[in-house]
Amino acid sequence: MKNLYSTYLKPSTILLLALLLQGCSDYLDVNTNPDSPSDYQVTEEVLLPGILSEFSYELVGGYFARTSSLWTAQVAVTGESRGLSTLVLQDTDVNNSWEFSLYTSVLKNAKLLEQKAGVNQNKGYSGIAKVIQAYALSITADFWGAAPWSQAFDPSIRKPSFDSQEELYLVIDTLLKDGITELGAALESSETIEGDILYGGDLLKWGEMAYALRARYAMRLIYAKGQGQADLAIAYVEESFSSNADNASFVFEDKESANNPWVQWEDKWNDVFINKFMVELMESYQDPRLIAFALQQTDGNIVGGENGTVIQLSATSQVSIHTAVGALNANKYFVENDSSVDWISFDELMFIAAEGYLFKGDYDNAELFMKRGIRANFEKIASQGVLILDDTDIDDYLNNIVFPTTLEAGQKMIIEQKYIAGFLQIEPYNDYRRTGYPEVPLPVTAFNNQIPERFPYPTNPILNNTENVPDVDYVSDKVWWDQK
Amino acid sequence: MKIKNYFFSVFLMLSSMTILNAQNKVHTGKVVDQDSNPLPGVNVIVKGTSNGTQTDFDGNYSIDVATGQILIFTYLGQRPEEITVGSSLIIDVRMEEDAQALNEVVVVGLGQVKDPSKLAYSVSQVDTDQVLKANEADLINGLAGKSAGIQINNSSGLAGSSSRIVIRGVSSLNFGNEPLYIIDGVPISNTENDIDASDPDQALFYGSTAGGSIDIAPDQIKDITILKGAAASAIYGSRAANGVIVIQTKKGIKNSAPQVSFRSATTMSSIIAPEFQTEYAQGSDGVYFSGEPGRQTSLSWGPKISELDVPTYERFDIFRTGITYDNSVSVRGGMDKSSYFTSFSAYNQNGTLETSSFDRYSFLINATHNISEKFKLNAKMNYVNSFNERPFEGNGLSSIMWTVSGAPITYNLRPSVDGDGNQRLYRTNRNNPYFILDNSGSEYITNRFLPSLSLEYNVNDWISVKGTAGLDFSLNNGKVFENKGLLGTFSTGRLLLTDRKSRDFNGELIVTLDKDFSEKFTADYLLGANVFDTKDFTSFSQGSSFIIPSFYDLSNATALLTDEITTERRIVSYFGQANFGFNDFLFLTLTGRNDKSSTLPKKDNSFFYYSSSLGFDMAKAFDLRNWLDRAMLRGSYSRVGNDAPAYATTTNYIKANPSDGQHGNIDFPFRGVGSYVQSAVEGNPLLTPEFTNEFEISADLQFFKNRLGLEVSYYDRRSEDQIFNVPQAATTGFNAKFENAGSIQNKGIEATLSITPIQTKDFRWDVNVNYSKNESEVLKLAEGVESVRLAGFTNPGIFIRKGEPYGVIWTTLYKRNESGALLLDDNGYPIQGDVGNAGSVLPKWTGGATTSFEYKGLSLSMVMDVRIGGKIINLDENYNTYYGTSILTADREKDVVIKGIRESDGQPNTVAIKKDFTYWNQYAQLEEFVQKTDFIKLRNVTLAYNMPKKSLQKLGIGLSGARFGFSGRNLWIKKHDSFTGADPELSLYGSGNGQGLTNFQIPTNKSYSLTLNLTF
Repeated sequence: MKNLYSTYLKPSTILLLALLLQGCSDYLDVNTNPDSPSDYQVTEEVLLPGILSEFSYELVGGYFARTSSLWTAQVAVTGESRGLSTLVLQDTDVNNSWEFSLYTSVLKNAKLLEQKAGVNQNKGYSGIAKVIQAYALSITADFWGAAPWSQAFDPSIRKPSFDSQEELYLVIDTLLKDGITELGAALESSETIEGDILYGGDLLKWGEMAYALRARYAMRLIYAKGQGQADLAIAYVEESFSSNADNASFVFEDKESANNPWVQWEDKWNDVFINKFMVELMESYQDPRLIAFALQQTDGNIVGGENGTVIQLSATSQVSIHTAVGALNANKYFVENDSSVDWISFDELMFIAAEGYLFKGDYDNAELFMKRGIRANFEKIASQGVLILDDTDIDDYLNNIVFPTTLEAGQKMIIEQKYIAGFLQIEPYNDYRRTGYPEVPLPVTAFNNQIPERFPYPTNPILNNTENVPDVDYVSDKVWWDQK
Repeated sequence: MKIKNYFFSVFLMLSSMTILNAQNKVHTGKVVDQDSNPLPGVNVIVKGTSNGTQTDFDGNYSIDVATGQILIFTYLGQRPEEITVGSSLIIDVRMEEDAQALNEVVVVGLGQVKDPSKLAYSVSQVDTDQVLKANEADLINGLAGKSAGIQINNSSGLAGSSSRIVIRGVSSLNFGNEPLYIIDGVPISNTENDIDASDPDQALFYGSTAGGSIDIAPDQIKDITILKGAAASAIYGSRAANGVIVIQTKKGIKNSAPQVSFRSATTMSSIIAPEFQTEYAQGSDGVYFSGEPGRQTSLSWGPKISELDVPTYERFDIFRTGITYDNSVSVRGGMDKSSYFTSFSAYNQNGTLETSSFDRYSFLINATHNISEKFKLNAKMNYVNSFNERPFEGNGLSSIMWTVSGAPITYNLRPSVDGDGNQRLYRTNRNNPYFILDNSGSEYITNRFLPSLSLEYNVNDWISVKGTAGLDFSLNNGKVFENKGLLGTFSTGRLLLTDRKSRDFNGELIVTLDKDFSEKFTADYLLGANVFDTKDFTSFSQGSSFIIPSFYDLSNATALLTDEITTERRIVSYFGQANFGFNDFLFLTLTGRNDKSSTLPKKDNSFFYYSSSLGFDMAKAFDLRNWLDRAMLRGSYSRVGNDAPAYATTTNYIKANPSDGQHGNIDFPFRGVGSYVQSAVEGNPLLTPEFTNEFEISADLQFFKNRLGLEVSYYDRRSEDQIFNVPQAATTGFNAKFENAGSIQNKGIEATLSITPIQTKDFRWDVNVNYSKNESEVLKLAEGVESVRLAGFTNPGIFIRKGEPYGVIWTTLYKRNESGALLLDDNGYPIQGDVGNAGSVLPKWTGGATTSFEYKGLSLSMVMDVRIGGKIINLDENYNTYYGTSILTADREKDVVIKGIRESDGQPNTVAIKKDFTYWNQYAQLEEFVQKTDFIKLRNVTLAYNMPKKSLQKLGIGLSGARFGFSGRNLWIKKHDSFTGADPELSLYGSGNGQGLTNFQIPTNKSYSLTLNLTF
C-alpha cells in the first residue's frame, strides 16, 4: 500500500526534481482524475446497475410518479401554498427531471450502453439499452409532448431541435421492435448478462417487457390512431407477461439511502397521506386493499386527506410508516423500505387487454380481463405479505362487481380499477388524461382550474436552447395522444 | 483550565530570565534622542552575549559590563549605537534619528521591502493595530472598513465563520475569487472546510464553514499589505489574479534582551436579533391553535394574543451571551548574529448558541541566523490547532433558525421532547430547535503546519541568491452528526466523518541584482523560478441508521458509505522583474512570468504574462517638497494568466448516485453491485489559459509632512477567455462543458483621504476616509448562454447574466407594464409575472471611516463602514410571511392600496386589500423579499489607555508597557428601510461566489471587549 505520509513529506525532493528536470514534462503529467475510471474500464455490466437504479428511483419511483399520484388524488400532502399539490408548476420544478434524470442520466447512459454493446457485439446489453431508452423517451413524451431525440446526443449539435410527440412515439416503437430482435438473438447465442438488478439477466423477461410496453403504448395512442390500436394492444399483451412472476419489479433494500423512493420522500421531505378521494373510491367498491395502502387510525379507520388543505398528522392516515404517529396495523404496508417499484406489471396488461376488448365490443372478455387484472393485483399485494387474503375473499370482491354494458361505463370501471391497482404509479395520470377517468376532484386550494395537461418546459432548455422550445400552456394544452 | 496553568508556567519561566554576571562592574547612563529628550525602552545589550537591559522612562539604565566589551543601543527609528566600555562607569548616549528607518517601507512582491515613494505601482498597507482592536477570530473581519477597494462580508454569527473578501470586484466567473494569502513569503490556501466536498450546494442546506484565513492568529502579525492591482501582483503568478494579501509575522530583534509581551482580551457577544410580529397567536383564519397534537399548524394567523388567555414565550431564548477569551504571550529578542520571535496564542470563543464554539491555539517561532557574513538563514514554524463546533444553518430541516423564526410565540418550545422521548413541536415536518441543538451539529478539527526555510547568499554587494521552501500542510477532520429521530435527510441517524489532508508546497529560487548605472540612474533586477505543487486528498465515511440513538460512532451505523476525492495540481514558473529609477522621481518596473501548468492540455500548457508600471513624483521633480511631500502619479498596464481547474480536460465517470435532487438518494454499492455512469459535465481537451488585463492610473499625494494625504486610483480590468462550466442544453447529453468563454469587466475608483487635523505634543487627531466604487459587467458568458446559476435554487437563485453586474437575483417577479409600473388585478392584488432579474447583489459603492484621538496615554478610535446599493433575497421572509411570524405581517388588518395600474383598464388602482394570509400565500411573489443591503455600521469603538512608564516603574515588577482597552463592536447599524432582517451582511454561501442570499442563518453579533497588553 502506498504510504500517504511519504507522498506528502518529500517536498524537498520535489523541488530538486522540478528544478533539475524542468525539461521533463512528466512532472506536470498529473491531470488524470484519479477518482474516475477510464473509459475502457467502464464496461456494459458496470453501467447497467446505475442506469436501472436511476430509472427506478428517479423516473418510475420519482417526481413523475409523485406528480401522477398527487394530481390524480391518490395521495395528499399538507399545505395551501403554491406548489405541485395545488396544481402549480414552474419551469424550475421540473428541471431536475429533464436535466439530471433523463437527458444527462438515463437516456444518455442507456445510449452509451447501446454504443459499447454495439462495439462489443453484445446484443443482449444492446437490446436492454433500447428498451430502457424507449421507456424513458415515452415518459419524456408523455409529460412534455415534443422533446429532442433525433438531434439529441450529437456532439456537433449544441441546440437539438424538438421532435413532436407523434414522431417520438414512432421512435419508441422502433426502439422496442429492434430491442426485441436483439434480445431474441442474444437468447439464441446464450449471451450472459451481468449487473441486471431488475431481471437477473433473464433476457426472455426483457423481451416480454418490451411487448408489455408496446401494449401500453398501443392503448395510449388509441384516440390518436384509431381502433386498430386495440388489436395491436391485445396482440402485444399475448406476447408479454403470463403472471405476476414476470413483473418488472425493481427491489430496494431495507437500509438507509438504499430504500424505496416513496419511503425516502415521506421520510425526508413530507408527510404523505392517502387522499380522501382514493379512500372514498375504494370504500365504494368495499375494497379490502385499502388497509394495505394506508395506516389505520387508532379506531381502525382510514382517514384520507385533501390536497390544498392543512392536514393534521395525528388525525390522517399516512401511506408509509416512516414518520407515522399512532397505532399501526399488524400487517406490513404497501410502502416499506424494501418495497419494490414496478416498471410495468402483469395486472396492468390485463387492464390494457380488457380495454382493448371493450373497444372491440367484446364485453365478456373485457370483464374477464379486468377481473384477471384485479385478481393479479390482489395476489401481487398479498405476495408481498401486505394483505392476508384467501381466494374466497378475492372471489367475493370480484363477484360483487357488475360490469357495465356501455363502452363509456366500461371504460370508467376498467380505468378506476386500473387506477386502484396502479397506486403510486405514473400510469393513472396518463389514463386520466386519455380517458378522463377516474373523475378526480380539484384540490381544495388550487391555483389552476384544471389538472394540468402536461409539464411546462424546464429551465435548462429555456435558457440554453431557447429558440427550439415549443410555446405551450402546460395547464390547458393537451398532448397529441390526448384526443378523446 | 489546563491552558491557564500552561500559561502561568511559561510566564514564570520567562520572567525569571534575568541574566547576571557578578564579575562585571555596574555601569549606568542615560540615553537621549537628538533633541535631548530621554528615550525610554532602548535596548542595551553587551555585544556577543545575551546580557542586556532596557532604559527606564527617563532614559536611564544600568548594566553589568566589563571594560573593553561593547554596548549596543538599539531603538526603533534611531540609528543603532555601539560604544566600547572604557574606564568611566557612566556612559551617556545620544541617539540619532535614522532617516532610512523612519521612511515608510512596504512589503511588495516576493518578499521585497520597498520605499513606497519609490514604487512605480501602488500597494496598500493596513493598520494592524486597528485589525487587532476588532478582536475577531478571522483577521479578515477585522479589515472591514479599513481599506479602499476591498469588500468584506461577514457571513454568519456563528463562532468561527468565514468571511468573504473581494478585491476590486469579482474577476473569475465561476471559480474562487478569494485573494492569494502570502505569509512570510509562502502562499497558503484559503479553502473552507467543506461539510461534503462532493456537494457544491451544501452551504444551502447546512450553512458555510470556516475559511482558511481563520488559522492566522491576528496578534502574531506585524503588518498586512494588500496588493490590489495586477501590476503589483503579476509577479506572484496566476493565483494572484484576485489580488494578494501579504502578511508578515512578527520577527525577533537583534541585539535585544528578551522582551515578553502578554495580551489578553475578553469579549462578550450577543445576537443582533431581527424583528418579528408579536401580536398574533398561532392559528389559521383567526382561529387559535394550541400546537398540541390535533391542533397543529405552521401558521401564526390566529387571533390577537391579547384576546386569548395564553402565555407568550421569548423567540430568542435559545441564544446565550457568547464569551471569548483571546490570550497570547510572545517573547522576542536576539544577539548580534541571530534573532528570534516566539509566540503562543490561545483564542477561545463560546458562541451565542450552546453548540457554537471556536478554539484556536497557535504556536509560532521565527528565527534568523547569520551563518557567516554572506549566508543568512531564516527558519519559521507555525503550528495551528483549531476546533470549531457549529450547528447547522440554512434551508435544511436541521437548521435551527427555521423553527426559531417560524414558531408562534404562544407555543412553548420547551421541553423539546414529550414523555415518550418523541420530539414535540407546534407543527409537523420540522424540528424543534432545542431538539436540533441537542441532537445534531458539526465539529471541525484543524491541525495546520506552516514551516518554511530560506537561505540567502550574498555573492557580492550587488548579487544575492535566495532559496525558499515553504509548506502548508493541513489536516482537517470534520464530523457531522444528526441523531435518530431528527427529521431530515437522515432521520434514522447519520455520522459523516471527513478526513482531509492538503499539502501546498512552494519552492522558490530568486537571484537579485542591484547595480545602478549611475548615482542618478538606479536599477535592480530579479530573476526567479518557482515550483508550486498541491495535493488535496479527502476521504469521507458516512454511517447512517443508528442501532443505538445518540451514539455517534461508525460502528453504530447499519449503512456505510465511503469515498475519496483527490486533486493534484502542479505549476512550474520562471519570472523576472526589472526596476529602474531616474533621479529619484521617475520609476519604471517591468515584470514577466511564464507558467507551465499541469491542468492545461499537455501540448499547450505554457503561458506568458507581464506587467509594466511607470511612476513619476512631481514633488521631487519640481522641488515642491516644502509643502508637498509626495505627488506620485502612476500608470500601469498588466496581464495575468491563469490555468484551468484540475481535471477539466476530460469527461469523467462518476459513481452512480440516483437522487431526487435534494434530500433522497441511493448510495452505491447497492444490492451488492457497484456502478459507474458518465458525468453530466463534458471535459474539454482544447482549453487554453485565461487572462486578465488591467490598466490602472493613480495619484498619491502627501502634503504638509504627511498630515494630509490623498490617494486616488482608477482601474479598468477585463478578464477574458474565462474558463467556466458553461451550461448547455442537457439534451446534448451534458448539461455543462468547461470552455474558455466568459469575459468580465471591472472598473472602478478608489480614494483614500487621511488627515491629521490636530497634532500637538500631547494631542493628536487622525481621520482616514476611504471610498470605492466598482462597476462590474459580465461582457460575455458563452455562445448562446444567457445565465449561469451561482447559488440558491433555480428560483430563487443568484445568477450571473450577460450584460449585468456579477451576481443578480433571479426570481419570480410581479407583472409590470413597459414603464415599470406594477400591474394589479381588479381586486387590487399584484399579478404574477415572469421569472427574471430582481437586481444586482453588488453594492454601488462602499466606504469606510476611521478616526482616532490620542491625548497623552489615552486614545479613542472609531471605525465606520458604509455600503450603498446592492440587493439580497431574504428568504426568511418568504417563509415567515407565510407562517405569519414576520414583521411584515404585523399590520395584517390594515387596508393597503397598492400603488399600480389596473391591468384591465389601465387606470390607477384604488381598491384596498389587506396584507393577510391570502395576500402572502397567493399573491406575494418572491420579488417581494428582494431587499436592499445598504448599511452604515459603527464597526468598532475603542477606548484605550497606555499607562505612563513612571507609574509602571513604581510597580517594580519589570513592566515596560501596559495598555488597557475597552471596545465595542457592531454597536449600531443603520439599515435600508426595505431590509427586515437584522444584518444585511448575512450570506448563506459564506466566502463562496454566490452572495446575496440569506436564509435561516444564525444572527450576527454585537460585542464588547476588554483588552490588556503588558510588555516586560
